[in-house]
Amino acid sequence: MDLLPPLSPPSSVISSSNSNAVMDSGERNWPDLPRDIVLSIFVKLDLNDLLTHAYSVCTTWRNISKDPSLYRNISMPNLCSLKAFSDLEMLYRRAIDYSCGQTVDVSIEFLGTDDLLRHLANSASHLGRLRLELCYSVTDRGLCEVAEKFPYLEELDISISGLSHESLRAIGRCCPRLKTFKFNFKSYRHQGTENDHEAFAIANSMSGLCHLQLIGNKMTKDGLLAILDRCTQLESLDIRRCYNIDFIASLAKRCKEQIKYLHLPYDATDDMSVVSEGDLDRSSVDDYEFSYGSEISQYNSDDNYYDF
Amino acid sequence: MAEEVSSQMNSLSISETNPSSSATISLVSGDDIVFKVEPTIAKEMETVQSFIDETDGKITTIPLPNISSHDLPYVIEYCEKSIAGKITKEFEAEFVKKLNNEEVKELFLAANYLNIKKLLDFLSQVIADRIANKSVEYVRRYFGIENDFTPEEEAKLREELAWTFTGVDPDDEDEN
Repeated sequence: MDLLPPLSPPSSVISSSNSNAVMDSGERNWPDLPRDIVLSIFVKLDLNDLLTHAYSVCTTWRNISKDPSLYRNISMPNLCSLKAFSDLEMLYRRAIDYSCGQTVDVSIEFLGTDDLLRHLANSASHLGRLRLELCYSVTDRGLCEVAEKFPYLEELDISISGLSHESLRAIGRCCPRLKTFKFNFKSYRHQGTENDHEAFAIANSMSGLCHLQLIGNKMTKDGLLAILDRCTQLESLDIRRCYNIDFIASLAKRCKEQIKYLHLPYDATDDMSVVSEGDLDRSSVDDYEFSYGSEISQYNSDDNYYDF
Repeated sequence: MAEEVSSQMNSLSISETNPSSSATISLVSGDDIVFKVEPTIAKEMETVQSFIDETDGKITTIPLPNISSHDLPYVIEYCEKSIAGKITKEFEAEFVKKLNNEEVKELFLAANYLNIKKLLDFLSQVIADRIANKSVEYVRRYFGIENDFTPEEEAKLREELAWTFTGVDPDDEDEN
């Protein structure tokens, strides 16, 4: 066979015209790597590494680190112990800015504020999925103000918050595409805490829902019935830790008939660390909202398990 | 015309089902070592395959001046596993355990040069893991990148991101 002249490298490859360069690896010129190759590494970095370390390496990397394609999904969990809230919020803001409106999925833990939400609403008009976990600083007023800026929202997960039925009504009114809604709390199992405002808000404004998760809600059987009546497309329903629901036989039967994937109040919540964390290993249960694991496990039924 | 097509198809199917020794592809590393591989391996390397296609399969000796005889066996090993459908998490973990930082970078460049998508994707994850939560200075050293910010830019950066220069993992000693 004829030996051909060396293959000319494709345009997206750094050129190294003599074989010595191949052997002398120290001479590789990494800063000159094509943009899409650097992006293939950057896309695997978490937001913190991307926005602080990669951003600070050199001018070329700084420019590449601002590529909107890197910010379609914005998520920055497990950093609260390392960074101050204000620093983290600044990172979120920069990520939102760099996304140039391309963000479709945002997940915020702990540090969400009305200001940050407003910033997101003004820049991410195509947001399809939003998750707010333990964002106590987001208020009803803040959320109601921005709800109309999220017309494409299909999935909203609000776990442990200070929000009420007012936010739920605004979301239901402004987000007609919403298919999955999660609104979770730890639990309320004490008398005098029955409250169907949220259940009614969902029933009246989110009739298109397919998946609903309301862990630890204060609703009674009236609230649940309203949801079953109005949200006729529901495939999955998770009402774990909704201890105020008086589960009479006819209601249980109706749930099982109408809902394909069902989680009942006393099913285990091991898979939901955000609501079950701290339940069992707290030596003194000083927060009356915590419930006890032993009472939950005896009602555990695996055949009703489902996953959103 | 129709005859030509059918005879071409015949020869194709023969060479695919019955790879004779003459169909073996010779890959020549930058330091002139020849590696004989099955045509299926070449198919994994898009750059090589498109070269073979362009010459209608007449040329089967392919010089790869950008890849050393040290790195090429790793690439071939990965491609062999890939066509056997045996790329598992365990295999990848073992594979990467053998490689130091410099080798990872070399293989990444080789995968890019040969346009092997799976290997490229895998190695970009390996590199991302190795620079995750490391200091900026470490990342610069890792990639051999010089700090080209002006002193003013650098000062501004330090002020802006002062907290990012703390709390990172200690630098790896493995720099070779």
